[in-house]
Amino acid sequence: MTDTPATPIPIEAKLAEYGLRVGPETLESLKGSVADLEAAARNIRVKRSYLQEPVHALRLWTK
Amino acid sequence: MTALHDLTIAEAAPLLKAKKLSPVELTASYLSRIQAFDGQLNAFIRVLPEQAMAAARKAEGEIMKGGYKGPLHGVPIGLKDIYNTKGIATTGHSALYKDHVPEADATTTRLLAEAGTILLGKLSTWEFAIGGTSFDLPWPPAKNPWNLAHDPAGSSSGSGAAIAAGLAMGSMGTDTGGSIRGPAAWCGISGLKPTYGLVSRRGILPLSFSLDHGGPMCWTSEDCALMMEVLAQHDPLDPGSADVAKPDFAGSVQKDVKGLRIGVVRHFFENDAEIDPEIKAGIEAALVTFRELGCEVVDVTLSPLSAYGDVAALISRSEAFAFHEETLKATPELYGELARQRIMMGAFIRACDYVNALRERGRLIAEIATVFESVDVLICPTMPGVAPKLGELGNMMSRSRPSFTRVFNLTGSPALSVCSGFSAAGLPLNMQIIGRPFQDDLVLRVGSAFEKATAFRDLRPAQWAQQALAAE
Repeated sequence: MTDTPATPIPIEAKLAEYGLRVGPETLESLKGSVADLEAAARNIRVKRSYLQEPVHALRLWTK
Repeated sequence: MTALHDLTIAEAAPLLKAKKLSPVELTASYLSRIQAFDGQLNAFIRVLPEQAMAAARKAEGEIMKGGYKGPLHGVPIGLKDIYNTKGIATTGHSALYKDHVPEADATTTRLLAEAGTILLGKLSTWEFAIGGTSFDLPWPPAKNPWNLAHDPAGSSSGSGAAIAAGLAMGSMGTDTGGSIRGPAAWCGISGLKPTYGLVSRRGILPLSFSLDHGGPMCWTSEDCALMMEVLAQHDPLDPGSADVAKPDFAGSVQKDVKGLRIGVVRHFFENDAEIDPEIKAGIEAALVTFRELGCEVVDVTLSPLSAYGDVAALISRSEAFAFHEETLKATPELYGELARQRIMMGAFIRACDYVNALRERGRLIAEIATVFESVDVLICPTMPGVAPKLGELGNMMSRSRPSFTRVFNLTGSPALSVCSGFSAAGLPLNMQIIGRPFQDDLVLRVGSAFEKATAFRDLRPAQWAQQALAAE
């Protein structure tokens, strides 16, 4: 399966885009955490059947 | 005679019912201990002495007139400070919510009040139940009663510390990735993360909507069962609330465990993650106890621990950012450093990765359901080690340190942490017991049977009060 980049723009740019402000120490630590999340996302990016739906798909019926 | 603060709820309830123990006397005793010791322990953010004594007098009047409501009537408790309390600040241990005074009680707050409990005060938490042990907040972090130099874990840090220190008979915690079970483990008490949907989340400050659970923390699993008798009620105002029949929690913990089949998720702690040898030895000893109680013990296999961690991280961070985005942008300075960083991570998760995490979650839920076709409960560690020193916890939430607890937030399974002994340094060891959805009563039965078969509930933290007084 094609692996699309999870963070196509630098973290600093994304923070600015979102209007989020961090200091230099936080930024370094945040980069490590974001790398962890990217790795997590890569690990679950596998081919799936369309039958495999998300948990909490909409349910409108009552008991 | 057992000191009042060493009574369990199960021991106090018949005395209260028989009018041999006064709710006023009991509450005054707890308030006195809080005043004497909490200056060093920091379990409470806010103590409510006048309100507590008024509630105690009311409970006493009701009981004296024959209006005994049940085992929680007249029982002093504390609430993690993310449970809304009408007219009383609910801060989330954060400068952002320092002056947040809810207009209504959380459903659970109301249920506990209706059952006649006495609210002693609001308890410390990691900031918004995510921030970690922080020193840059308006209130200091709670400490561990077994050794004040050590961490009580979180996020329900005050809830765990207060119970272990004998500053409340019962407390409420919340658990999105282990925040009831972690503090229960390190504080040497019993803490239940109920099945998702069994206890209302309405009026509890959210962290991650689909992973948040509220639940009881007490000295024993039997006491947790008594709390669950009141807490397990369908709430139409909580969209995740399940409309199911309430199990017989109180009756279940009186039954034996003979014939139960216990599955040990051994690869979690022998292959997937490193644990302290003392924790492993505690679990092996516990398995011997369960065999002696007539259980069959077998090994079982689930997906690797890291598979759960990946999915949980993507979901929890996405949902936390959804809740906090606007305030994080507008007033980042009102968050502590750890909470700010952990919540901000959610900004970097792509929508499709979040959705695929939800799809993978479905697979993991189906997998564990298959395993539960052949066993009644699962066992694994709660925490990989004993409590570290305060401030040395570091980043508990990294991929390199997979969690044993968040597995069961993903699956929604009931999961209980109990004390499985003590380390050479005198700190509590831990074990986690997990059940099928809505079999919380069985999980509590197994926990209670273990506690009754061992002597670990007889040992209370002995040194902390002297430490606290010496430090004054």
